[in-house]
Amino acid sequence: MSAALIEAVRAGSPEALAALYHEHGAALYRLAYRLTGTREEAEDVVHDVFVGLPEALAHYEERGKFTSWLKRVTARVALIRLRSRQRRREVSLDGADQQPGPPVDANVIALEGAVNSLPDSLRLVIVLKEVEGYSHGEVAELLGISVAASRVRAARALARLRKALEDGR
Amino acid sequence: MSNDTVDAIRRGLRSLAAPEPPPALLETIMASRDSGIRVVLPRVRRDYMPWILAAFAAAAAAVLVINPRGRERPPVHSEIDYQDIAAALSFVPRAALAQQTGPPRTPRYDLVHHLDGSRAHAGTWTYDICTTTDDVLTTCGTRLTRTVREAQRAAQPAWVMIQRVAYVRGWSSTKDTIYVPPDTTYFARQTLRPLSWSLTGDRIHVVRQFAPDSVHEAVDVTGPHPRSWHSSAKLPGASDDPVVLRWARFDVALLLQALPLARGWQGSVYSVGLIGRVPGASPFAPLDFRVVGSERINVPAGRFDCWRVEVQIGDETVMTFWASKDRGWLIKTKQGEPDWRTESTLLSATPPAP
Repeated sequence: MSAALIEAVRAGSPEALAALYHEHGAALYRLAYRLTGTREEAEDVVHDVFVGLPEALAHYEERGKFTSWLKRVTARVALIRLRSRQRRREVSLDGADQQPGPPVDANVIALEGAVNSLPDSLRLVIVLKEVEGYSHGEVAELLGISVAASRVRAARALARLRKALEDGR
Repeated sequence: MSNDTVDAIRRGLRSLAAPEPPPALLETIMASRDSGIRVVLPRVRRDYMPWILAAFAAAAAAVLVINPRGRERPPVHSEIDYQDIAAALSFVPRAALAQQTGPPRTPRYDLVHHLDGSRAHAGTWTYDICTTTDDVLTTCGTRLTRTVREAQRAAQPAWVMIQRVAYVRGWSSTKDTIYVPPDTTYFARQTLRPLSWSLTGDRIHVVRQFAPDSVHEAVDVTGPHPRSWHSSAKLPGASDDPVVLRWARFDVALLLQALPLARGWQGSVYSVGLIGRVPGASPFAPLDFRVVGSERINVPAGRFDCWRVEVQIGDETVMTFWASKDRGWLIKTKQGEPDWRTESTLLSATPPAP
């Protein structure tokens, strides 16, 4: 990511913002989708992130990777949305019939269902840790919990996933 | 759990598919920016930050910038975007905003009529507010001070209540204190019905004026994208019934001094949500109060014999509070969800606690 492009977005250039979207939008959408569990909310999250990005970049300190910073912002916006929906689980992960991409086998559907059935507190940890590849330290910081709590929740989530998959056989 | 099983699950998780963003999303983003919509994103810092507070700050900021939601995301028009304020109030139960289609919900209990306003009294109460997330992280550092004193409004005796909130930014290396703009409410001395409410922030000014049968609201947002909304609604209930200005925990404080709380007592009072122009929606929701117990509790301000009262909006219990039996002081409040709760306790009171 060039500093010039970031500076252009910061200055309010629509073309630069579009370029940034083309580079990162899909990845951020997938992250938001995995965290919120619905296309609609993922769309809202990415919308809000990019609409707010030019102003938010005023606070970007250019320490560390820009992509990481962008993902952390997206994760936080997604988490705020999760809070705001008052733990009211809406349609989860949209149903397998709408899933895009490669052929979907029964194991994948079962795993998706199992992930979806996890409570948010466990699902967030397992998605951030195992799907997005964050460290427990980063997960803890993102969720405002201790590193130990992140480890415990990841272990609980894995145990639940395993049980759910075994029960489903 | 065997390592093989865990590894298989992990591999499966990493291979889970996720959809691509809809093709029109970029266009929607650009249209939103072109129409003046701005979103204040939460700050991401490398040092430790309790995200729930960041979320609160972001939600509060979003109120000022009118964060829209909804799939279609039409460009903002001044006639329709008032409802977006409601959407931005992330931490207020949707039901509490009373932006629901149809007429106001029927109160669960009998409406409270003809309060004895003479039981209300002046004073200053300060509360300590703590938030606990996931039973792990408890963050205190927010202080709310509520001052009630005698006043005149339109040549009539009134109470004026001023609320000030200050919170220490726990994640800030300097631990600086943020002062939320004070809000001011006038109440009729005898009925405790609100007469007016105003709040002035850096970029927003909200005024709500009550007439005997209606309420008028004006919201003015200044800054680079100034906007204004003016709206009115007819109030439900009788013209001298008490009305709760908002649903928030401290807005019931003056009312509590006069409610006839007793074992088994229950009653409903209409609260005013956002008046805005949501077609067909009611800006009012009944708060259903029920005394569910009697407790002696210790708080920093002292020991109090209290009634424990639950407040429901619809089927949802939105708050539990403890009111002192002797003078109806708000001593403690508790609200939240399984993994997030907030409590406020009385820190000090003037006149001094008995």
